[in-house]
Amino acid sequence: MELQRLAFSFFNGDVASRYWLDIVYGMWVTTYLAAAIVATGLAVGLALAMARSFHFRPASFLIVVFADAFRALPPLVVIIVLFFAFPYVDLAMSAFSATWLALSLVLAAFAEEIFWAGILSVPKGQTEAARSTGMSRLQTLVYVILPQAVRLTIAPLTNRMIAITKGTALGSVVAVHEIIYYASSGASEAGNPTPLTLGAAAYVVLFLPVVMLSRWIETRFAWKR
Amino acid sequence: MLKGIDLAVAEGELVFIIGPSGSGKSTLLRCCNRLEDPTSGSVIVDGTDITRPDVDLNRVRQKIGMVFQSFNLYPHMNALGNVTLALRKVQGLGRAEAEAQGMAALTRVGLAEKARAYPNELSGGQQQRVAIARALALEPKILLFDEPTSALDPELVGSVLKVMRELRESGMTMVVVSHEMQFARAAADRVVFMDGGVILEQGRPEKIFSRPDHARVGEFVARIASHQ
Repeated sequence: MELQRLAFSFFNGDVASRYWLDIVYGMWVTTYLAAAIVATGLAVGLALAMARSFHFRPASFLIVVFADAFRALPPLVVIIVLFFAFPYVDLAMSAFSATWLALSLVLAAFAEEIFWAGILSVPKGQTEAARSTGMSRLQTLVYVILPQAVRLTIAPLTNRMIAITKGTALGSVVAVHEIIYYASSGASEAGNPTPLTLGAAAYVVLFLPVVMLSRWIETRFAWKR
Repeated sequence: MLKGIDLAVAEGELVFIIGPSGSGKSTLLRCCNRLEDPTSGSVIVDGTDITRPDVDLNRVRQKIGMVFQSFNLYPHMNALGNVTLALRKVQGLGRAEAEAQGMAALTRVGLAEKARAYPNELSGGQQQRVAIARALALEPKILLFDEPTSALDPELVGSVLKVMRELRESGMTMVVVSHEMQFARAAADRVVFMDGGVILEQGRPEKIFSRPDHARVGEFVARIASHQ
């Protein structure tokens, strides 16, 4: 075992002291990029699932096509297309915007399917009871169906949110100044992979609380039938 | 499913609908508030033809209460929340006013003290009475009951029937799909026997249960009676 060489390569205090500030700045960019993706992705996904529940065939068809396409495409491909191809159709966007939009669309596609499954899991009698009291389809959806559906979606939704917001690392490909961008450029500049260790630590610091929070929300929102 | 039904229910009348499963009882009931859409014909409630395409369905449904076999209470709301939701969102009442009206409805079904209880904390009989209160709170002209006691343990049936009897005494118009024959005998003005999507026979309960014109009705009544 060459523990000393391992320590020199991956836990090099000297290198760490030179690059930790970059990583902290990267954490900030990752955090607000991730927050923007979650907000947009969940909002669009929920809106699409709600639209689908009105059973208007052409709309449902388009929603399914969207959801299937963006669940099938690798997020990296979507980012690259938005960043490198869209300028040719006069839709140039910054690296940050391209990453935000690409990952938001991917999250929206998954979120739509998860919300939709939640909506379907609510027994039909709930809709019938609400409609029989004169509530409209939208009121029934908002006050009766969604509160029940959303509880069931919390676990799969947080898993998906974590998976996709970690995908912000893909933004490094188009030079978004997030954690991995600083970690890998720091590593090549220093000729030492310690900045990657710092990057890994940064992800743990950011995402561990999210994972723990989701566990808490899950127990909090569980209720007996 | 239904093959030409002609049925008029007078104000204040309690009509019982019986018949074998698949005879169209529930479908008929669900046509009365358009949970099911009849392919032809019309359904007239309180002077309004609710099958007309221009009818405001959400408006007329407030006047047509429905009680389901499986209660269908909203599990994420307490009893009072269940009863007041439509009052607030459909009729636009303020919280205080809706809750006063909701408490009055819960009092009528004898569950005022359970206002803050959630459906999973209530027995089946209590849940069904909350469901009745939910329909009552909107002050309907007619109440439709779709097998209201079929999902209940036998010892809980009585409390629901008691509420239904009190409603009947207060002059509520009711259409009940159910096989509670003793209750029908005691409370129904008329019993309608359906089979194969048509009304085979109808009349006073003592007539239908004791001296029906059709042998098919007699057989059915005897079979149900032997299970009760």
